[in-house]
Amino acid sequence: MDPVVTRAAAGDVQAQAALVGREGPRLYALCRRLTDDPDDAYQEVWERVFRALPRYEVDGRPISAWIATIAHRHLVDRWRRGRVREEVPFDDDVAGDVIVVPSTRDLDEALAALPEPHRRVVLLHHLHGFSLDEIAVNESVALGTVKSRLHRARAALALALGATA
Amino acid sequence: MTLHEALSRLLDGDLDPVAADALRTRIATEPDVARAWATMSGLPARIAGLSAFDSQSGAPPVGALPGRVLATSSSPQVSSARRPAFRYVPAVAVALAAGFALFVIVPKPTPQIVLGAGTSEVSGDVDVLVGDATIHVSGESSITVEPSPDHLRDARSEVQMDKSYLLAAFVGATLSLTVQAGTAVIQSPGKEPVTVTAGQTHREGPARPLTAAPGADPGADAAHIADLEQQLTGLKLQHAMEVAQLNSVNGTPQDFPADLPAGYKPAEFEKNIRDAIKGNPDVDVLSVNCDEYPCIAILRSSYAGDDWGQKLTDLGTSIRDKDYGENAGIHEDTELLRGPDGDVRVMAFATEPPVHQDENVEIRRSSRVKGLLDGIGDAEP
Repeated sequence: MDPVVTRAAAGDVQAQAALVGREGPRLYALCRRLTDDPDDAYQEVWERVFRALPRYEVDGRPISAWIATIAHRHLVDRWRRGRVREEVPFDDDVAGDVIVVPSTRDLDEALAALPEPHRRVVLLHHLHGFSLDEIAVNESVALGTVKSRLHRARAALALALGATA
Repeated sequence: MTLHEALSRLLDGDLDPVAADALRTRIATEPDVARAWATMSGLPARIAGLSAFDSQSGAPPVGALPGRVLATSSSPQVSSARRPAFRYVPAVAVALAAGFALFVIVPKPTPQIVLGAGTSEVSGDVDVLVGDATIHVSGESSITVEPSPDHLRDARSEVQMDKSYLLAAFVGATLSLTVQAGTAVIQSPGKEPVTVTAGQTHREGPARPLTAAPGADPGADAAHIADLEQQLTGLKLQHAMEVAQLNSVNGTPQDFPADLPAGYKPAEFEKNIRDAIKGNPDVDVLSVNCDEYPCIAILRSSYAGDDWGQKLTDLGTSIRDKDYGENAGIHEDTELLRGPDGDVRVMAFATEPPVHQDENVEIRRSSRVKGLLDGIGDAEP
């Protein structure tokens, strides 16, 4: 196992700090793209990471992916806590309204305009390498729901980016 | 399905063969569709390319994480028994910057730490500021700060405070210092420095008695009183702002509306919940909280399959649809919690009629749900 992770799991503060320094930028980027309060979410994710770190086992998955999984589940929890489910259809694997994303040349802007569940799927799949099955498990939703969100998100992005290309 | 959704499905091989062939023909023959396909097929790589900017994400430095996240953050090392609050920093910082720059100006030679109430472990070579006292620690020390009876703030408040405010609030505090290694020197105004060595404990305070010493200069006393009164006025205002800030996060208690349909009132709400789980051996009612509007039910699932959360939310949705109608608002929060007896899979369920649903209700409900779930166990990652 990565010696920094081993020492961090044992409570070595310097190793924990090293882990934050190493993995922090990528984690913060995820929080920034998926919440409107990234500082708060970032802190909460690290709390969860260090609570769970003694149970981390190497199963072929790098620590960065393990941390991203914790972040994903936490961000889903945050989103659910802060929402009345009806505001964004949760079980939206049926055809729904087209998501309207303002035309833009900027991918970050177009992503920001997506509903949060759709943004999570497209970022975790394409940017963080999660399989759609993993995303479905982490979100406690059907695989079909995840696929539907991915396709609707990509359709909205392609429309927004293509319109000004 | 829109054209772009179809293109997305084609990209992943999720279209049936006939539709896929038809779409490929359109791509080959229609320039607009070909352009849309080019944009779509380039999207995955374009999104993946965002990782190149992660290093510029603006992540807070390691030292910005509070002690409860990292046992300590950087040298000098401090771990505090109190729970600092990181989340309110921006709003409070703005308020402080706007209104309270008049407070005590503290010279800040590096490194310095400002302590409030509670016990903190300090290590390194560092100046620790408590009220108007300074403790120079060389080694490792445990410092306990007990606020003076005259202290002006609620020490349980989790709102992070400006350091100068913290210093002002703890003038007159009682200090208890135990040195585990090295030395510590306490310097209080008008007193000789006291050096405490390893294995010794020293107690001191209040650091600045509020009664006038014999022979004190009456003019200086008047100035000091005026200064304290000015601080008191500012602190009262600050307290009011903190209360408002906390209310904006935790919400304010909501009364049950007088015209609330019966199904949302405590007795019938609980009956609806209990009726709904009859015949479902995997779910039981952990609690129903109707202290405030809306009622919140905590349902526990003994089923541990991967889709336990989906099953609970399906159950919640069926309760809403059957007893309240599809237009009713619904809040379902599933959590895997680590309780004293092991993992607990729960869902907080609440429902509200559209006419009695607003931001205040939502903020308060979310805060109550968090409190109820925190009382069951820690959230599992």
